[in-house]
Amino acid sequence: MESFAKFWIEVFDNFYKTVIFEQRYELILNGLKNTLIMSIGAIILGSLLGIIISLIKHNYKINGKMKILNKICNTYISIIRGTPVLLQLMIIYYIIFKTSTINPIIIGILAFGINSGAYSAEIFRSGLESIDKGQLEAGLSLGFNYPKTMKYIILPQALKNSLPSICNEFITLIKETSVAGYIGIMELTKVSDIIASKTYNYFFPLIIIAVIYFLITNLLSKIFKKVERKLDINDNNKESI
Amino acid sequence: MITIKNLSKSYGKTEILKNISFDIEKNDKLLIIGPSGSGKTTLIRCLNKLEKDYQGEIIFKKKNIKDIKDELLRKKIGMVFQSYNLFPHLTVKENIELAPSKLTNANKEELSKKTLKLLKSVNIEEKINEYPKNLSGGQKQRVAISRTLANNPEVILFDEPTSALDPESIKSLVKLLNELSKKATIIVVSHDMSLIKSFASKILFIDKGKIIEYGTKEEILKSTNPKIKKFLK
Repeated sequence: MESFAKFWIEVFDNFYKTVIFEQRYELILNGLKNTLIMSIGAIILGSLLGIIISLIKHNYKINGKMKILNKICNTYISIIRGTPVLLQLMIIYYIIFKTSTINPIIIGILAFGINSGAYSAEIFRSGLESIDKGQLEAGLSLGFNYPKTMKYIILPQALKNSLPSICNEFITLIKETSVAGYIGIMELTKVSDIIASKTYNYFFPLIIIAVIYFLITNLLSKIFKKVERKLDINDNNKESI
Repeated sequence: MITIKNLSKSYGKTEILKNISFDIEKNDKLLIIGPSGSGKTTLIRCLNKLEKDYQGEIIFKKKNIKDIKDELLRKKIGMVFQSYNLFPHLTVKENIELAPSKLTNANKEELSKKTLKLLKSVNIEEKINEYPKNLSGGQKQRVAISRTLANNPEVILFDEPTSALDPESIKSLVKLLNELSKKATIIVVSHDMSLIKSFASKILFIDKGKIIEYGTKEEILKSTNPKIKKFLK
């Protein structure tokens, strides 16, 4: 009984030292804010890049147009996928923006957005390619030009098909922002490191931060599942028409 | 209305159409028949520029179609595909109204009235708010026809329209085709022999990319060409 009480006293003590003492919860909240800003910014940038690149690649494949842009896109995808995200972040921070006084969070958004763009591009490309060629031809035969056919007919279907994979990509991206501490950004993981160095106890800070990551990614996953279900009620792209 | 002059088309080294020439008059009910792989579908795909890389000339209303903007030509020469190609993310109404609403200045109310009228003419007005996955093959085809008609085309191309239909649906399709021919020139690609008697006013028989015979229904039925005789058996 005594050892049980001792255990809980120690837990509360550690929790107090990690979260309450010296208002460390403010540090954690600040880390959470930075992680969210970086993640959301990078998701938006990565998605935009991904959609644009996938459309360029699709246009080249279908119409043979934009040959040079297509080559540039392929090179970009190869380089980004072939190097670690931490290295890309450090190159952008220490080399490209070496003399700049730009906010490191913006650099984080750029680095993670550019990284995610390559993966998103491949996800959206496979979404576009999953749409039957007959859909494109039906759009063209009704008098739409290629861009309008893409806008009104192909993209809405392709984006829906891409949802599960793009959700995975967003989850990966959120977790990858945990390396942003390397360029001095006070994100969640960096905060846990700082608190641990003060309390000389890694267990509590790491577990608390892990729970926060889990809650964010789980919430995102649930939102995506809800959207997918809603779209499934309206239509079913897998149906052969 | 349409003149095809020395039309040839190849995919790589395979010649699909070989020096084809013929005329199509306004309000013709043209049936293009021939064995599988004879080039029938490729021929009509050239007519609305889904295939562009061909030799020869296709003249539509005295203009080479290469000089007509794709989008404009395709509104005048509509196509109903073999697999219908309805848009699965849109309802029947949205499928039909998509092109007119995005490509013309038609107002919403007028469009809705027209859509209802079109669906009534093909007897599926009760399906107006359904998604394509909830329709039968015959119903999908009627929606596809309505969608093409919404553009007021002067020529309608049908690619193997009877291939997925039961005999009852084929009967009502033929009735519909005959009605449509009063408003537009109808060109049907098929290897369904029943269409010769029930639909066609003219028949183009092609085999291995070449015209074997072209003429009125009566002329083709009387043909002594052994290939046609064998096919008609």
